[in-house]
Amino acid sequence: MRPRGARWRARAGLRTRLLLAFLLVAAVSAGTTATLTYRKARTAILEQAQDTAVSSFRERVSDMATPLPIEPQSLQEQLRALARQGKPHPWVVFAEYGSIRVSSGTSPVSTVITPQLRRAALANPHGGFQRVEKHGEPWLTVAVPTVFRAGKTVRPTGLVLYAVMPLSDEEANVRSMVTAARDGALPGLAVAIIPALLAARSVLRPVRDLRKASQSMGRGRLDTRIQVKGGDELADLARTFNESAIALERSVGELRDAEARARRFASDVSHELRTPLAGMLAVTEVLDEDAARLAPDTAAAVRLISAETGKLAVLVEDLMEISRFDARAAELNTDEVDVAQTIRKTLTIRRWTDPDRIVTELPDGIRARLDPRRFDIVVANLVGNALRHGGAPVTVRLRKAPEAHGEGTRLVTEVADSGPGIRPEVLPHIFDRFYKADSARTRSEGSGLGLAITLENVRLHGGTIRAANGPQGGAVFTVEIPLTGGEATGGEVRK
Amino acid sequence: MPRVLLIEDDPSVREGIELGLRRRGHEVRTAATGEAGLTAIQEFRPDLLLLDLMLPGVNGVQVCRRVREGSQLPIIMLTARGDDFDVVVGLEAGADDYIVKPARTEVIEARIRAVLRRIEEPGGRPAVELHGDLAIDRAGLTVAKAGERLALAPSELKLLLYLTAAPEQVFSRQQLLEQVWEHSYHGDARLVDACVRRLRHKIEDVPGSPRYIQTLRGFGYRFGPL
Amino acid sequence: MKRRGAAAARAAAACVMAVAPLTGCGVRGSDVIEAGGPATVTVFPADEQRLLLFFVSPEGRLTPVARRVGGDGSGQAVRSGQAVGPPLGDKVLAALFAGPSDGERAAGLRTRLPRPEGRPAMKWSPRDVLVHLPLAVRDLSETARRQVVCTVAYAEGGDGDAEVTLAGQDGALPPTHCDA
Repeated sequence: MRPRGARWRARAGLRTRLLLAFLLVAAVSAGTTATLTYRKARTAILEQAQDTAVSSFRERVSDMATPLPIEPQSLQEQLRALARQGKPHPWVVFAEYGSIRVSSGTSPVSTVITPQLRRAALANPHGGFQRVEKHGEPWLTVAVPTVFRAGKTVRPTGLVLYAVMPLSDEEANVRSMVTAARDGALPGLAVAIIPALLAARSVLRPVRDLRKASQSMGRGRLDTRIQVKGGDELADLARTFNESAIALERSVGELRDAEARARRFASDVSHELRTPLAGMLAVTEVLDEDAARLAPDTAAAVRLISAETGKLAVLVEDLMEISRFDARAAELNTDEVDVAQTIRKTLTIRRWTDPDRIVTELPDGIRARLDPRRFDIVVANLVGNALRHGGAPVTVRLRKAPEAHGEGTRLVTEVADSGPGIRPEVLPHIFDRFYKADSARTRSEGSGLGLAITLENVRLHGGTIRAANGPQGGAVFTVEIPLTGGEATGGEVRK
Repeated sequence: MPRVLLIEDDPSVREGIELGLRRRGHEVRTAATGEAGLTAIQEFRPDLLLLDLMLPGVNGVQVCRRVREGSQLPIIMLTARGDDFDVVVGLEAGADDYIVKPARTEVIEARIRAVLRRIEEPGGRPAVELHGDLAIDRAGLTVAKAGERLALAPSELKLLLYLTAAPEQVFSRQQLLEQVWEHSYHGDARLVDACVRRLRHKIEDVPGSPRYIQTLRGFGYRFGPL
Repeated sequence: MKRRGAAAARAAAACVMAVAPLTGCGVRGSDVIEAGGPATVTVFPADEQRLLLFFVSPEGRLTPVARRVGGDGSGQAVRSGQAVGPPLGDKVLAALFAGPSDGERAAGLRTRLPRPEGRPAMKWSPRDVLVHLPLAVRDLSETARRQVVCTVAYAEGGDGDAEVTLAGQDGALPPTHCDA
């Protein structure tokens, strides 16, 4: 499983990217729209102002009558009248004729009118205007050259009239439009987050479902399915997942059935063998006793049958035991015991008491909840195995150790022999059923299931067993069983 | 030599065990079904019953119950390991011990002897001990409660005698298995538990809160203190 | 990580592009934009009561002045062809060569014509005018020639489109129009 942090980052990443993409699209479209609208509106506002100014100025100027050359005093009067009629805003009107400069204002010459405008007005008999920024304020300057009718043609009079008017109102309008665009766009972006979140959720929900389903499958729940909604790519993915899950469930089911059949068969076979064996085993004693009185060949045959019957009985018993583990029918009948005493009893009952062969380091006073019968099998199998395949002396050690993870203590039982140890290639298979470490070895010793049964018994106690080679070369089997496990089932002393 | 009645449906097992036990000097009668077995008990008057649990018709557990209704005949069940539930049911029905098949004749005989063996009595005790309402006659092997004689199965009687021999002393279940049932140390503690339950039903006033046979959780049982 | 950084940069660039036009805004200056024709004003005295003389503004442009006929002895409103005194055209020429008046000078108007030694004369026919100047016409500047041509074209009740030929002591110039 991935660490929690990475998972969160990945999910946040996808969500964040979706959100950002949405906001980006929203920002770009809002910005573009606002910009285009703004430009159009600005142009419209300015054109409106300019056209009004130019045409109305020209119209007013057309009403003028003047001698040539002009008379400054009367012209000034006319200019003042013109200025008052300014549209859309009051003008300041300037007149230029030869070297005469007259204005409706205080200063006869404008500082706003540019030389270009002057040149253009004098060179061509056309009206013109120019927007000028002066002292940070926008101005509209309009130039209207005058002509008069002379004969069939019109001739420039040499008089050019200029109107200067501030565009501050238009500027204010334009600025307020910018503000409006910005104030509209930002809440728009904020609103865009909502569909973005919804979209992100609708994308992420199937992803999350898929992850949960995968985890559930990983935990062995092969019947996990995802609800398929819609027909998008994620729905396709969910459908594919479901199909794969169905296929997987089917093949795993077939495998399990096959395995269960095989196990049931083994169990049934041993069951069926047991009844004839029960009869045979009961009479082996008769055979053994009477063998001495038979002809030598017959006696050997009879003894062989007797001995093999005994081994067969052990084998069938072990097979039955393994079958019960496989069927999870094995029960733990725990009792609280003194572990050292229990191990000593195991050794005593089997007459493994020769101090040259068996060395014990069993501190008294360690009490544990165990199934005494199963623990006896564990110790007996390990010691028996050590005596058979390893070499004397065999050391049996018992100790308590703190749990590797978390609190609690473990009961550690160690069986070490003084033999050559276990070859490395054998180690991984040492607990396999019927595994023969030495292919040349006959099956005369043990059923081949001893260590497998030992492993199952340890597992039933919630413990672990491992095989290794000790520093002195002998094999070391270590059994660790939690001392404070929740393994108390059945056989409990009731109060 | 004890007279043994074997009720076993499988002919080879029946013959094998009969042969083995007879060779060792036991007088053996066999029966193939529960019904035949119950009839044989009346005629043969065995000292001990070897009873297969898996019988056609009237099964072993039912036979066990019928026998216990009117007699303290020692009963040893024959069972297959793994038939755990049957073992528990058989023990509750009043069996004194059980043997897992297949078993060698020497093992079967050892169990028979153990069940039949009387507990060695410590000397210098009065013939009848009084523990509360219980009157235990160690010589006559009878127990009476409030003057009324109790019908105790052999394992129950032996357990009670063993516990009362050392009142207030705690015995672990493994110890009791060794001493009362003569099992190896790693025997099946359920034998003890089932026997204690049966005994309590007979001697306690309130079996749910025992007074005579008390449990010490994690250690075992003791008699009293009253 | 690198790819995500690049994506972030792209996103940031797009944001800037989207928002930038909104920030650089307001009313900005412009070039001179032509808008419509000139304004036609009324010049008094009216057409029949004036003569138009063309002088030169301080910028060097031909600039008309309108003088009332007979008001100041510069001439009378007499139809051409009448042989009373010197012809009106000659009076106009005389006035032109006399240069701008005080008022006109105050307005910055000047003449580029030299003072002639003799009387300029003009011979008028319906479609063209021959002006005889007592000076070397080839020495005259272009502006000076146009002063004469335009003044003559509008004199004698002409409407300014007459073809004018300037002749002088050094011969005649090719005929030309006032608007040429």
